[in-house]
Amino acid sequence: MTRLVVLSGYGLSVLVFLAVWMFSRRPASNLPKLSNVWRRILANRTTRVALVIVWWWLGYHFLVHVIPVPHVNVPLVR
Amino acid sequence: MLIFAAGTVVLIISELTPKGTELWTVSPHIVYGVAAALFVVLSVAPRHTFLPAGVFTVLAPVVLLTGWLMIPEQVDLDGEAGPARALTVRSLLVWSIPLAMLLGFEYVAILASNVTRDGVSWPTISSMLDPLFNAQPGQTLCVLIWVFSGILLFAPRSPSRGTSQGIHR
Repeated sequence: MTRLVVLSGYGLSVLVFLAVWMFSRRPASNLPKLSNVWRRILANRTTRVALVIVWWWLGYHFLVHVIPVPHVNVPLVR
Repeated sequence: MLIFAAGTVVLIISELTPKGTELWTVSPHIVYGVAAALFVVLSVAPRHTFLPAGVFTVLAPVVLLTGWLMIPEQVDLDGEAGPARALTVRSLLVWSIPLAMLLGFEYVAILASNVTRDGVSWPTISSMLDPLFNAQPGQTLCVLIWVFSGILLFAPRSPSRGTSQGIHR
């Protein structure tokens, strides 16, 4: 049950992103497009460097770092 | 932990030191060349080995320095379709909602899985994707997405309209 709630949370986050993205694509929308938001973030040195660090870490995390998975308390079934 | 601490220190230094250190525009040929080389090496090299570790160790100061010194693209703060689409703080907050939600659920899952020692009931994004990336197609896809997002970060694009600075409020 808990797993379903957490997975639904991840799915909901993706759905909200898609909704915001689709809303910004409408001609009458007053929300800036994602590309413009991206450029705005890159225009500032600190946020740009922060993004570079996050990007580097994501690659390191998935390709170099061994991801620890907390062990599962599953009772032994004989 | 050391990486996060070092990153935080870099960001604090960036905020405290004068701006205007941007010196060069990164050549797209260099970005695409490095991206292609990274894609080949990191797709082929087994994960969690010395080769990708060495690549990321060399890459860290290079991308950090590049990110610090590169000339950013000019931003159209007035919006691509007039003032109605202006990049206000409010509009940036709207865009940050899905990211905040995703990170919130991830944060709760990390904490809960460590406290309860139950990674199945509290799955993190990393623990779900890790088995997928163990297979070669998954690893190639992972590297492809990561390299492509790097191109979006570093490859210069054509400037858009407008040159004003600062966020509209």
